[in-house]
Amino acid sequence: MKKISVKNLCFSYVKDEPIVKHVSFNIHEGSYVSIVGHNGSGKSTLARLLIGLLAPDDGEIYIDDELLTNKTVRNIRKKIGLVFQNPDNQFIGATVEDDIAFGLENRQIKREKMHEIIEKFAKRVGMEDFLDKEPSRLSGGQKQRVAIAGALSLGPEIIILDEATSMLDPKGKSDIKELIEEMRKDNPSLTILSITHDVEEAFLSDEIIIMSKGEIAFKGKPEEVFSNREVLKSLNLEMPFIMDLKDRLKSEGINVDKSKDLDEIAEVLWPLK
Amino acid sequence: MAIEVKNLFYIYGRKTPYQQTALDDVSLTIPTGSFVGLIGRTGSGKSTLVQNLNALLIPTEGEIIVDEFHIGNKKRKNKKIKQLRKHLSLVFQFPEYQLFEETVEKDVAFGLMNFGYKQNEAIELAHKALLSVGLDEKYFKRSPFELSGGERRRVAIAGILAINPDILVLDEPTAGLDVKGSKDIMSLVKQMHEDGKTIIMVTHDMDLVLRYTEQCFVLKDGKVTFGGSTNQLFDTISDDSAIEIPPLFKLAKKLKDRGAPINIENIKNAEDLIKQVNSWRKK
Repeated sequence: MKKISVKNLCFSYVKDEPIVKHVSFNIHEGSYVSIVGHNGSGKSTLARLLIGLLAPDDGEIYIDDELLTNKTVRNIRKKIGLVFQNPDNQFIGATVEDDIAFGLENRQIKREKMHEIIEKFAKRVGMEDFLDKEPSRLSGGQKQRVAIAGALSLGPEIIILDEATSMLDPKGKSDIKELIEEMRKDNPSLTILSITHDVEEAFLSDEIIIMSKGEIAFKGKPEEVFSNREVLKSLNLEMPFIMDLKDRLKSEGINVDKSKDLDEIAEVLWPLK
Repeated sequence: MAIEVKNLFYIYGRKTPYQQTALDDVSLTIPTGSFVGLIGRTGSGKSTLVQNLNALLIPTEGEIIVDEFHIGNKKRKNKKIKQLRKHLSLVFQFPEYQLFEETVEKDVAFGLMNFGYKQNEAIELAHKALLSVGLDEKYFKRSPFELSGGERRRVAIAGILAINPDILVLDEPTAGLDVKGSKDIMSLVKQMHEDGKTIIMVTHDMDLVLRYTEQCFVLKDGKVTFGGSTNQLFDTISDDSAIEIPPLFKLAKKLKDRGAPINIENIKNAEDLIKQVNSWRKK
């Protein structure tokens, strides 16, 4: 089932300098899609268009076959949870509990019910022991987990992660990746749209959309995208380390095509007698 | 020595219930002209340390000597702070968030004017700094807010370069940038190092640490747990430590373990490894 459908979307901040050019794609319910592209490729603008923070110059966005307009935007936003890049820019509450409560308060959820919900989602992201803590005492990864709990607590059908891991340290990054996997197991109909330039992270998703200069340059399964080295190179995207190394060795006349990991490459480079 | 840190302690919220020791007896030296990495997990004290280096934070105990400047725990005795900040400048994480002026050139000139330059002088130096980060005349009169993330980062770094510090401290200079943006920024940093500046880079990216730094310091819970050659660090730590060994270096280690004649001290990037592999293949 189509969850998000984008048709011929166009947008420019300044006249005659289009940022998003005739972009069309569909995202199915329950899928995990990464949008990859370099700075200025139009990824983040696309996310803002999807939740109606910006209005397109042309084209249409449908969420569950409902056209996004001034009239429908409030209803559509209820279905979408958004997590931004900078954990410090999205903390509102004085404590973790307050912060998760913020969205619920806006929805006028009853107090008793709210406690229940907060506890449930704090547990979900592994932050239940931090409910009375100040945000400033949390690490970046913990803050992002709280932001995700806040988004999940409203029961969204779609979660948009806008470079949600790019400011985190390696441990924080892997925590969030695991959490994404768990969220999908909990709720198989949850649609996840992740905007990222971490290739290793994009590799985990079902589908990758590569944006370049406001257009979709490539779309497909991770294996398809990453086996297409020419595309990656031309778009200035990084290849996963092993693939890059194999490429380099190949151009030196060393064939490591069959080597799957570092051990097997080491075997070719220095065979044990 | 460019920097000497002696028995430095820093405690946040001292004598309150929130008291927290961020730096716990840190001592280290950084030679002039070196390229040093500062690594450790979030909350290990890296940022607190760099903020002590240019007196944004005043040591709770201990002292710091930065060339001719001295920073101790008595605020009033710390003289010439302004000159110190001109000598050792900090590029914060996500420096582009601090851009505020209406044009790029004004933003870069702002710091210079704070250091007493006249407007026309400041603008002239700003242009030079912008050119050195690869932003030409077309950018001078534009609003910084119309630029892409990578371009904005370059404007912010130009603002620091214009001041022409001898020691440059960069906090996660490539975070949030794409491959091209990161490469551009790092080749800029490398150029500054080759021009004789002392560079201190705080980062989580171990590939960058391996590729660019000669030495590094590892902080954990406010203590220095390692100080020495970068390659030696990756050679001695085990796989399960908090520091991720770059895959390239892992491969080099595997080759060493198999008995290959590899010189692990010289491996900084893939080219280095391939060069060594080729040298034994030819034999």
